[in-house]
Amino acid sequence: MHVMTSAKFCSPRYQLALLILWLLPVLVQAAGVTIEKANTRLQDAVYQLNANITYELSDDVLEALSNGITLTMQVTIKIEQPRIYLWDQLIAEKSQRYQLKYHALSGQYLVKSSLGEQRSYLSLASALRGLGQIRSLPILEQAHLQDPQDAMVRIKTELDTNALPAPLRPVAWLSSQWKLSSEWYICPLRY
Amino acid sequence: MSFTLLKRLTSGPISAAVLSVLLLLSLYIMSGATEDSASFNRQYVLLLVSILVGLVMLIAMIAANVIRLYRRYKAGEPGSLLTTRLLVVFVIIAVIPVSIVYYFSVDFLHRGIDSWFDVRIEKALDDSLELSRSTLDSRLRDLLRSSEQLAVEVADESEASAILRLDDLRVRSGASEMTLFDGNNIVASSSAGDKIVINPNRPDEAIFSDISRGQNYAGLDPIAGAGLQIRIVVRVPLIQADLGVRSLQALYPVTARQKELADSVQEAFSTYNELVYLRSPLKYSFTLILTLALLLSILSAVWAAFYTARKLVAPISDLAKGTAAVASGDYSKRLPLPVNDELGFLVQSFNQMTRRIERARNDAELSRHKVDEQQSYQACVLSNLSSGVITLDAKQCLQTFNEAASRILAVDLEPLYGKSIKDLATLHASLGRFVEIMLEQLAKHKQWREEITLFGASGRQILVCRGVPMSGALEASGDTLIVFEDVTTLVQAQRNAAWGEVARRLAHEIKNPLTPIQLSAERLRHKYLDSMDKESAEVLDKSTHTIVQQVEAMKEMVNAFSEYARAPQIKLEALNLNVLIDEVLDLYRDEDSGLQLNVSLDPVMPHVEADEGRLRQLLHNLIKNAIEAMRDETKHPEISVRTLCMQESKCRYVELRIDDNGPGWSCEVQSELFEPYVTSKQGGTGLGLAIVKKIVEEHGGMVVAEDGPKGGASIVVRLPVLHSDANESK
Repeated sequence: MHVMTSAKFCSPRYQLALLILWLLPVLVQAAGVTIEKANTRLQDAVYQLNANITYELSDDVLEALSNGITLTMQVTIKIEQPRIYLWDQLIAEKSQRYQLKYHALSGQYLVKSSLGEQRSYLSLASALRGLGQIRSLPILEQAHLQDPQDAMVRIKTELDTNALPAPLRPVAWLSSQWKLSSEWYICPLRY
Repeated sequence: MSFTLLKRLTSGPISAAVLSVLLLLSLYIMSGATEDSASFNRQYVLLLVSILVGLVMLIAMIAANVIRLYRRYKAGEPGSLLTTRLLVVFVIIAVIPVSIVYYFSVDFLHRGIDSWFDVRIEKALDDSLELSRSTLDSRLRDLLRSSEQLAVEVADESEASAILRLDDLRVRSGASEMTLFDGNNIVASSSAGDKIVINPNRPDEAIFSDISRGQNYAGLDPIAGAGLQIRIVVRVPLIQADLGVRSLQALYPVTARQKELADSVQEAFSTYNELVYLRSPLKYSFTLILTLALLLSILSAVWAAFYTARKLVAPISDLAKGTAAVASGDYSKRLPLPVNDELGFLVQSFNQMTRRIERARNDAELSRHKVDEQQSYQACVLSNLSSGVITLDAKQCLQTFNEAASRILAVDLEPLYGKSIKDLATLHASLGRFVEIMLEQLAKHKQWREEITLFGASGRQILVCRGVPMSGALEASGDTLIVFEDVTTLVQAQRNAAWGEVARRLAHEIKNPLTPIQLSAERLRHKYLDSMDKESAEVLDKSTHTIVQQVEAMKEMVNAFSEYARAPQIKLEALNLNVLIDEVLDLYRDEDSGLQLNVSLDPVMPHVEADEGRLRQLLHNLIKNAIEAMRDETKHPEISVRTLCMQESKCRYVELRIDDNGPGWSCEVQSELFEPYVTSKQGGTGLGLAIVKKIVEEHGGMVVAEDGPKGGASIVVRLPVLHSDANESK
């Protein structure tokens, strides 16, 4: 029995459980980021995503940003096929990362996507607006989807604390100020 | 099973190794945190979790150890107290320095991190940023002015024709990209050198708002792929109202040197700012890691203290158990040998000691056994000795005696054990002489030999005593060994032999002149009796008659002597004792002496192996003896003759008992009845019973004189039965 206990501590399942326990506040306190609206459209045989996301940064995060810390937002997109008796079938998963940072010399906020696209904004508000506007993001080729009728798109965006500088990470884990995450937003895959 | 596994897990060195690895990992984290490497970034969570797991495991292990130690302490197990003490000492030794190091580490860490930052550096960086901006500001202003003029030039251009003008203006102004936005802020036309721009760089929407309000924009802008550029957005003068508020954007590159310097300043400023901001999280992070390392170290040290204390105390508690076992008499206990150190040496010595003690005890046991054996052997020898043996200590107290001693002295010596020999004389007056002589001799402390004659219940007893002071190891004790022997029978036999010899010689010497004397007397009588007168003849007749008679008597006496001394060859043959007795008694039945013969013969009478003539003589002697004893003093003489077939132990005997109702034995002669010339009768030779005894002894029998049942004398003769008859009757 005791052996099992010690083995349990080492098992990945328990580590995961511990991690989930830590991340639980992240899921609960999702007021900072909201996906207002999202939809998809088919263009040139590729499904493209348009989404409007509102980012409201907490004071700590704002302070970090103004001190030159790069914030990384991760948008996770899952395309699923609902099934009646089983769990939904995952067709595709895509993750898009956006980096937001302050450029002191020019006094501008830079938003850089994982595709390499970079834009500069004069104010934080416009930078956050620009960050929240996802336009024509290709998510899936039509050929990969046999039955697009019932397919659903699940979108979630969050602040990636693992991308923060190491010294900041323990703080980010322990402080609710850094828990920036949206609820899962579900929309049908339209064309 | 799980419990033992846990026990092994919590006490074994494997766990210690696991913990060391965890400790090393935490140190790795420390170095990772200072270098801020990418690998560290990725493993941060895993390492943190593993440290926490390690901590929890350690705490569990220590808790298990504490519980175990508490139980052992409660149970009063040897070594538990020592373990606790050692543990406390170890923990104190470990915790105090580690805590001190921790305190100073944290302090130095904080100070170290703080020392990275300096207000002057901060100021310098701010200033350099400001300088960079102001350096570029004049150029920005120039470019804004020239761009405003360019805007005037494109004011009258339509959207379709603007592209050519833009190309021209771009080349003229030295801009890298020039774009014209229409009234809806949509790209109208664009020029970017030789490349075709599909998606020209758009300014922030806020700039368009400013333009619509009449404010032109000039600023630095880091462009992806192109680096730092100068962005100028100016309002195009309104010529045609239907075109709306149009704006012209021009992107100018900065010089390579300026770009490099600006990037450097931006990078330094950004990094420094980040560092300043991260100062407290960095401290927090380092302190956290240090604390975890401290906890790991302390907990490992506590656990190691448990382990070490247990290891150290194990041989000591073993020794305690072993000593307790030895104290309770168990010498077979051997302790497991620990490592080859001083404790190991101690345990080894203990094992050696118990082994030696055990061997010594076994040897002692063996020698005790040997001594016991020897003693019992000696006791056996002593008890089977015919001589009496006693030992006396310096105070003349009885120490040892054997059965023969008791038998010879006819005294049970057992109650006198350890008591003074004088008590023997007090309790048994007949042994007074014996004790007296012994004490006399003992006072001399020398070897002595003495012949002591005692008069006890069984008659005269001659003892030959020999006393020897103990020699050798027992010399100092002053003990004396006294050996004595009953030589009564021997003396008797010697006396008998002497008498026999005397009798034989005397008979021979006397017998020789007797016949001439008798013949001479008869010749005298024959020759002179007739020739003498009556008176003289009477005298002669009387005298010669007396001589002849006395000579005859003397002859008879001499014959009896020689008979006693003679030892003719005995002729043994089987004969029925009853028949023989009948024949002999017939001779006495005819007498008119009024003698009454009561004969009672056992009908079951086995044959005896005897010389008939001798037995006949024996019977005559006994009966004659009885008759003579009763002759004068008994009115109704009565002799009873009985035979009895009886068994004593394995041998069968026939007993012949002849009783009379005479005066019985006189006390004086009773002890020497069977010796020659001992008689109570007048005119008796004193050889009758001596001959009887001799005959009986020749036949291997025994004769005893007793007082008769009716007050007279009684003689009991026992003769062994013929061997074959004895077997038959069995």
